[in-house]
Amino acid sequence: MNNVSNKSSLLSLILWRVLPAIVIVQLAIGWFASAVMEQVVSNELESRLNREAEQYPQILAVKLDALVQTAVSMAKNDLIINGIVDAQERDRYIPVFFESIQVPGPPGAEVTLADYKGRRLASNHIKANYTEAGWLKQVLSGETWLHLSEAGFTVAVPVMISAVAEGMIVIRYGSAQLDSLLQIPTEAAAIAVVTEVQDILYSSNQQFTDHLTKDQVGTLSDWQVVAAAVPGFDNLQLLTAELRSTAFAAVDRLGYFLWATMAISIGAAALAIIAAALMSTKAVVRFTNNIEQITQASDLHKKIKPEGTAEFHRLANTFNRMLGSLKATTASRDDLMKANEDLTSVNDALDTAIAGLAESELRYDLAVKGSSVGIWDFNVATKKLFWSDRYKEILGITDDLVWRDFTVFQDRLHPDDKEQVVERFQRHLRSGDSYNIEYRLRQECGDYVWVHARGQAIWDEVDKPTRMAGSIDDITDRKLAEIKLTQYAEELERSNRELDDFAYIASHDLKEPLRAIYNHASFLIEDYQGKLEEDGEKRLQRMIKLSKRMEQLIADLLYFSRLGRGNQTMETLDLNKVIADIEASLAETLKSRNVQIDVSEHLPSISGHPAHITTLFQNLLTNATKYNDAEEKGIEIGLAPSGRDETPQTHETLYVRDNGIGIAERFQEEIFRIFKRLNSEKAYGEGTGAGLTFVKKIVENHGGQIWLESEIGKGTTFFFTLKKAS
Amino acid sequence: MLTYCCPKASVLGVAALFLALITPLHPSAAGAPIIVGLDADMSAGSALGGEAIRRGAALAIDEINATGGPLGRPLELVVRDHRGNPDRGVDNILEFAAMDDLVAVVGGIHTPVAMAELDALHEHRIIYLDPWAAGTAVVDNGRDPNFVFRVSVRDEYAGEFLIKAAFERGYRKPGLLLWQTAWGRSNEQAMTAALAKRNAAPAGVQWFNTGTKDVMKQLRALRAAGADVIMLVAQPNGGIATIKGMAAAAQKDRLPIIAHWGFTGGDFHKNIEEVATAVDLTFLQTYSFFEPPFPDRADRILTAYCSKFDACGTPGEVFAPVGTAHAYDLIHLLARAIEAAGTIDREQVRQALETLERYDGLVRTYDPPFTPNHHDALDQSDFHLATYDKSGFIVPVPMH
Repeated sequence: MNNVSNKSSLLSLILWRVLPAIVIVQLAIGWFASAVMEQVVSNELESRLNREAEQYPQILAVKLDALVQTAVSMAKNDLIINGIVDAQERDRYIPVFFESIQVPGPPGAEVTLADYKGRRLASNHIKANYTEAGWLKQVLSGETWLHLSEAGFTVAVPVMISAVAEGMIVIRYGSAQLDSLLQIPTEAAAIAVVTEVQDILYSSNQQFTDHLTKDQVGTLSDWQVVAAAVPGFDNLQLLTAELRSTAFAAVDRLGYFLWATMAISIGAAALAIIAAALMSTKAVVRFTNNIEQITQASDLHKKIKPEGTAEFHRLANTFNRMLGSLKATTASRDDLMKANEDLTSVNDALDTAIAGLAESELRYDLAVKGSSVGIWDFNVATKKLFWSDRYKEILGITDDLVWRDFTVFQDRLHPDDKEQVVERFQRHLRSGDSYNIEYRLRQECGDYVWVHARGQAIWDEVDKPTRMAGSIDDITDRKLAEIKLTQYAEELERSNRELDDFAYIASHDLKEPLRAIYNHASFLIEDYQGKLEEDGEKRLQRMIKLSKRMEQLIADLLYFSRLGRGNQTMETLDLNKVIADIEASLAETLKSRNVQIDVSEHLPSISGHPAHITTLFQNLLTNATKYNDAEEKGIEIGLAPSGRDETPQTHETLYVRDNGIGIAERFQEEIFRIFKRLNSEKAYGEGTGAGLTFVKKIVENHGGQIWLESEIGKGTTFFFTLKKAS
Repeated sequence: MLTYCCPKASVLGVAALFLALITPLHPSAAGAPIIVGLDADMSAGSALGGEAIRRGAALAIDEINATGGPLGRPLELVVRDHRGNPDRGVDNILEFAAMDDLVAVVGGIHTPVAMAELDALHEHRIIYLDPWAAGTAVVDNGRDPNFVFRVSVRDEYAGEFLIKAAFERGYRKPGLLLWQTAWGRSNEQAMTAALAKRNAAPAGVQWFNTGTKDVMKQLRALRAAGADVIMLVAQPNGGIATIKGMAAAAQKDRLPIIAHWGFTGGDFHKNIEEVATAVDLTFLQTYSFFEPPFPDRADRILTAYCSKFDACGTPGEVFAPVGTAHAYDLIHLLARAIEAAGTIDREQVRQALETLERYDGLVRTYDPPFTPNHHDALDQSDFHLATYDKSGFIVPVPMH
């Protein structure tokens, strides 16, 4: 207790240690705030001055430039120039013109047209005469003279005729008008225009003028001044000025207020802290007394009565709980015995569970062996995969291997399915997304079998997959049936679409009115031969030509629609004969175009529709001839050694190769679209653009495929498959 | 294209001025030179005309000085450039007035300059020999005594001649397009009077100012007023604007142009060369070395011209031939008047000019050249229409 009484009390500690610190911090804040305010205002004042100093000279320059431009345009005015060269005429109108003249400045401008010696020809000012002007020579040399001084403002612009000054326009303001000339609207406390020798041409504020005449620019006592050159006037400066006392008046007022507020808040804070300290001291003293009583009595059943503020309540409660805990450490040994018994019963339950598990695994083995689906089991840690006998049976595997690498599975996946299957597998392991998927697996014999796979992984307590097992089901038959069905559906859809297209066009009876148009145009030409103007006849001829073309387009469309409507009787066709017949029918064309057809090897017989197969080759040969700029046009027809991957064994792959202009890659799809032409008629002759559409259609009707390889400028090879003759 | 073997007109002007100032034309002639002034545009838009006048005067002075000169004194040409500016012109006259032994001043193309100079000329009693400016009022100036003598076109006659030419070609509604100067007004009067004589009036009258570069508006207005031919009175710039404006119109809207001669004193053809064939342009001339009225006289002058000015000797080389021919005749007339007066006293020489007897000149046979009441030596019988050929030479066109 004696030790304690030597220590200083909480109140005195707060009064002498805490309060002075608070006051010092407050004063520092106050000082800092007022310094910042002053700086802000000072910056603002400076930036405003700079802004104004940038703007006002521009405004003044624009104002003065307007006068210069007026003089310039007057000097270029036809009437003025005429007035120079025609002495009689100018006496009639120029004086009137000058008396009524208005320039874009304050009133009082002296506007004069002077001759090439500065003599007044016309002026709104009776005494205007510039024969003695120092600048005369400069203006006569063709330059504009511009001057602003205490004596006034002068702009003189030469009137040029045949590149020599034959006269001049002079606009002048005397010293009396300088004030109104140089006055510009301003928000600054003062602006002034001064010359390089510090003559004050204009000042907006008398007080500022007085200062300027006394002080040097830039060192003015209460004025803050920024000087800037007036563009176009080398000898002029525009001073923009603000009174510092005015600008800082608000800051000063704010400063007083700030300090007063601070003094009051320091006082209030001191009072509040003292009061709080007194209250806290009282509560602490009471709490301490309670604890001393409990300690002396050594009675753990006693409790402290919570009182005072919430913090003291919490302190009392915490202390009471501590007493409770202290009391609990005296618990009996019975509790330990009870815990041991509980542990034993847990062990028993564990044994039962292990026995159950063994049984369950046996059942699992039986299920695997007996299942009609293939079972697989993947150990994530070892990356080893278990395949059941049925699984191996589906794949035609006969070995006795129980576990194999996961890569074996991956290798057996169909290339088209691989990425998707692996991705789904990993996704399931990663995020538990369902693994239920159909894909192809390669059998031992090399064929692919469609399977339906399902699987489920097991994850440990940290969500790490440990194992994944599932089944596969052989669904090859169903899958092939499905694919076939889809093909049929597509076929049907396409056929229907084509039928629709044709029905639409045919329903409009295109051909009938077209024939009528053609006939009427022909009649017009016959009946009005010589009566129509050349242009009229030309248009009719064009109409006939266009209707013929339209007719051809419709015919092509009809043909195309017929191609789409199946029911073809297939025959065995000797392609050598087909080509020979076409060559014979095209003989003249081929000769005239210098085309050499080379049937590179003995062509096979195929199963096809005779007329359609002829059309197929005819169109390919015609295109190869037509879109060909080569001197010697060469066409090669042959049997390709191999087709595409998907080409069935039942089909032959044939090709027609030319050395023509080639087809850019981006057009290689488009060329099969009906009526699509890539080149102009002018360049490669007429045509409807249906030929390749027919070719594709015919190939497809024969269950084949068509594709091409082409290089611009080198040629094109069309490959297509046709069914072998049975 | 107009090609002649001489440097640019402005350079020539300066060179000529320099030469004229520093060297007497015929140093061997006895006595102090008699000064003849030349006051013309030597460097601006009509400099070519000024130079043509200078050449004519110089050729005549060479001939006269070769025989000793009038009163045994050589003539000396002093050139001043007025650039078409009346104020410069008046200043030049005042400068000439201050020269001792000045007997006369030869003028230039510009009627407005001549008109402005009249006061000064008469105040200082200076004989003014007009080889080009056609304004009627230049000669009919109301002064007595009248110091102005002209060997050139008189607008009054020009108006009659041009309107007559238009009517002979079958046009009945001439539209007048005129330079807004004393010369333009002089022609408006003359043409209107000539039309009135035929019980007709202009389809329209349009004016343009000196600096104008575009007269499309005026041409449209004349077309709209029903004009079937354009009567043009223009200096080179106005002429160029008119030809270009006309060429820019659709072919069916283009009207033929019958013009006074003002534009022939400048670089006119060079500037319209590209569109020249698109416009039917004929203009007034008095003299052509292609079809001279007196071929022997013309040959002599042409030979001298070609040797003096290093030209190649074809008539086409003499640009602005009227200026040269008129100035040539005027100087000869002046020399004769000085001889007749026996003095260079200007008043007496003036009177001698009024009473000169027959002179077989280059342009015509003057019999007499002038009388006290008639100071215009030429009349309509001296006029013809001309055009530019493909080379840019001024060639006469046959009258209809």
